Amino acid sequence: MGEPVVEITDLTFRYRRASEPALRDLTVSVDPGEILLVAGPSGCGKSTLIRAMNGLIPHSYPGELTGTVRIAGGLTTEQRLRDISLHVGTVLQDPARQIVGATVEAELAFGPENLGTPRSEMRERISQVATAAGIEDLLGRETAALSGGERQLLAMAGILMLRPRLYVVDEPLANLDPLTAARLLGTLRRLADEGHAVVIVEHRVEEALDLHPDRVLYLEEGRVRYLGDVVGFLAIADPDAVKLPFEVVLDRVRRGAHVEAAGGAVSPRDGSRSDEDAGGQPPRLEFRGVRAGYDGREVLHGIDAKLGAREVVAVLGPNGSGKTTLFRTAMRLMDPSEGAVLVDGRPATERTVAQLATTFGFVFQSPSQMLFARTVREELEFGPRNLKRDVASFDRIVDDALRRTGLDDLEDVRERPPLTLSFGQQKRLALAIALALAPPTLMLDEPSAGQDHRTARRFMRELLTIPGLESVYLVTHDVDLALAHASRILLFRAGEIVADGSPAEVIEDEDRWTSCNLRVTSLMRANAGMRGSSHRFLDAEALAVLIRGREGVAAAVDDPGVSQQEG
Amino acid sequence: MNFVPRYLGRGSWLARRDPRLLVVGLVCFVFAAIQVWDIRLMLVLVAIAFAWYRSARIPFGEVRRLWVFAIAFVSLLVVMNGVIASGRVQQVPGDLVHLYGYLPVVGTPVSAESIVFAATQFLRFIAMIAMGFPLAFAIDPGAFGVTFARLGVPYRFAFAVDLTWRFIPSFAADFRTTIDAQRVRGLDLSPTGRNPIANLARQVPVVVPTVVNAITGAEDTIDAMDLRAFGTGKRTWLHELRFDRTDRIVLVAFAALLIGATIAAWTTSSALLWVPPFMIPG
Repeated sequence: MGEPVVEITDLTFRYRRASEPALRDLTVSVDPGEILLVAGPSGCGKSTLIRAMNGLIPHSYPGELTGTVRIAGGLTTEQRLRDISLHVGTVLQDPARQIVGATVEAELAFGPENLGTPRSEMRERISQVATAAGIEDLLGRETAALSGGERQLLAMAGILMLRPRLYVVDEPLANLDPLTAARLLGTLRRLADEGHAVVIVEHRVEEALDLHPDRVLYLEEGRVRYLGDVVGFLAIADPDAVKLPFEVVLDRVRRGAHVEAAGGAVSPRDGSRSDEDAGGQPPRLEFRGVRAGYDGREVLHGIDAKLGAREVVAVLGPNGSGKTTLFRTAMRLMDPSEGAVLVDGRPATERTVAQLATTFGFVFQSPSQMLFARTVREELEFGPRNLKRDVASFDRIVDDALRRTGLDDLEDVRERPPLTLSFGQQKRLALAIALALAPPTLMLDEPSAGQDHRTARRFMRELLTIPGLESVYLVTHDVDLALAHASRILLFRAGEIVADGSPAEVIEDEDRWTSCNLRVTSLMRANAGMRGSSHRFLDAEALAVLIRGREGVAAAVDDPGVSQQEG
Repeated sequence: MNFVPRYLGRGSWLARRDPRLLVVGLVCFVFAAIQVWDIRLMLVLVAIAFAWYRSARIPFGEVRRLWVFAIAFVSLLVVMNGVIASGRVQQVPGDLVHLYGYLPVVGTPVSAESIVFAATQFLRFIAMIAMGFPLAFAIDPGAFGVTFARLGVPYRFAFAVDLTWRFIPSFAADFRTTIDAQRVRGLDLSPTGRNPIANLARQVPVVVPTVVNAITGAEDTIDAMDLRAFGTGKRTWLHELRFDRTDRIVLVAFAALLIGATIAAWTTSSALLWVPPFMIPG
């Protein structure tokens, strides 16, 4: 190992308008060829650490800084961002905001252009980087037309163009299907093997461990909770806060750790299949030969499916396979080019979008796309007011929606501006907004996106126990979340349904599963091992508690004397 | 409506030209057109503009709605101008006005001259739009920055143009998502009455989230640009501009058009309104 690429000593940083430091007494260094995984719950200081490493602190984010940050031996406070950027390349969390070039080539060239690189050299580098990042097929395309996964790969390639010594990557897996995520992680591993230093911040620890990080930095409330090898990290990490491999969760439960167990596949209803609904009722939602697309490009290729009034259905599949488009046709946010959508047995075309909203509460991925009112109360009254509901009922509607989503615990929440809520609270507000129209069914687009493990689990658990809710349909990349909470899985690939059944049935064919860019997780394997004794998929914590319980019973049966003494 | 610029003219004769020619040509054309009030000459300019537009081979189906909007907007502008100006027209030789009558309610006089004035204005705007469309649809999106930089615009400003082009599609996508997010809350955005303020207020639920998201997103973009050393020193451009012989010939033609129009405005009646004889009563 040579001189550290980045060396942070006793760093404490407080943003100018904040009352508390975002980072306290942090000391860490990263050597060439080393991969450092940074983990921790939301608000633990990960983003601040990234900004300190890439020089945005103190150059773009003023505040109170003590301690030192050295990049390639020089203090960041004494270097220009231009000089720091020669050593540190950063991939931000949202590639859509990071990409500034209108075409793929323009994006790749942006960094070298700023550094005054000659044109011929840029062309040579573009060719090399496109090959290394596996994006040759994207050359010549406009960036606005790229999918989320393609943008993430391009953002990474844009940084490769600068040939930095340190790569800092902020939650690169957040918007990627598992296979595309694995491709990106492979690129990072290769960079480290070539002698570059890599710092990766990630909630999805189980997947990030595929990188074989040399060390893990675990932060809590701006402080270092752990810094060391992976084995030590897995021994102390909080399974509620970060997503750990199932074996680790089980080990922790065996050692007596307390975990928040959801109690398994918490479905509001018991997963009755759509065509088996009691009393011969029509399915809540039926697709008959639905074809739909954008700008002349067909995305759904003749979908036939029935979703029941009392089931939890998860739609899984690769980026761009048509999952969200399916829900959009159901809500009439776009009309099929062919085929029909039926809601409770009647054509959806007989109803307006607003009328459909009383059947389906549609919760978008990002709550900030809908929040506009001055107070939470006004936000919640907006829908009922549009539908001309009785004004006298508004107080009851608001109270009910806040109570069902647990937001009524917040002090004076009704009069708070919605944008002052945390992201997790905004997400629950978006849910409350949908519930204010009293729909029996919810449609959720990526419910866990942008939330850490603990918040996402809690969100799903609370959502599935909302009184009066009959069914939930969700689109997600989070395989474990889908399998643990859904009674039925629709597996999508290239605009077609390739599997439809219970979680156990759908994952049976591993080749089909992986061909949909999905990953076989440790939780899947563990649940598969329990088949026969447990018919439903359980989340990691519930399954670990179950296994531990059975081991305890087995031990008591083997040695009843011990059991009696303990009792 | 899709206002997003796309490279629809890719591969056309105009798209093969140096993009600077499209900018300079438009500037020459606009300055020539604003000096012309003789509708016969304006028709010639319209013909030139549409020949230019046609050489960009922009599929009409892709921009049909944009044209409908442009024509409606220009028509509204011309009519409002006529009403606000109370039928008074300039560029009339000898202040001779042939009156037809008065508009009901507003009482604006209608004359042969005011009609020709409005028609000439309409044609001028339409010609300018036809000349301007290729800027949005026939320039390689990766070439905007370098085009303006090579025209002498400071590179930070030039790149701002580039960036605007890059983010218009993202902004449009966010806007559409927000509209959908509010539609599922029962919001109907179609105008319900004549009160323009009330109709505008109904757009607030769409405008506020879109603008807030754009502002917060801009912070990330600024960070991303800073981290790749934007604005810290001498810059190069990947895109190479080549001004070939054809470009030079076309540039000379546009320059000639501008000079010709300027000279004609001083020496001939081209800057005066020409009323066709059949429109003069009696």
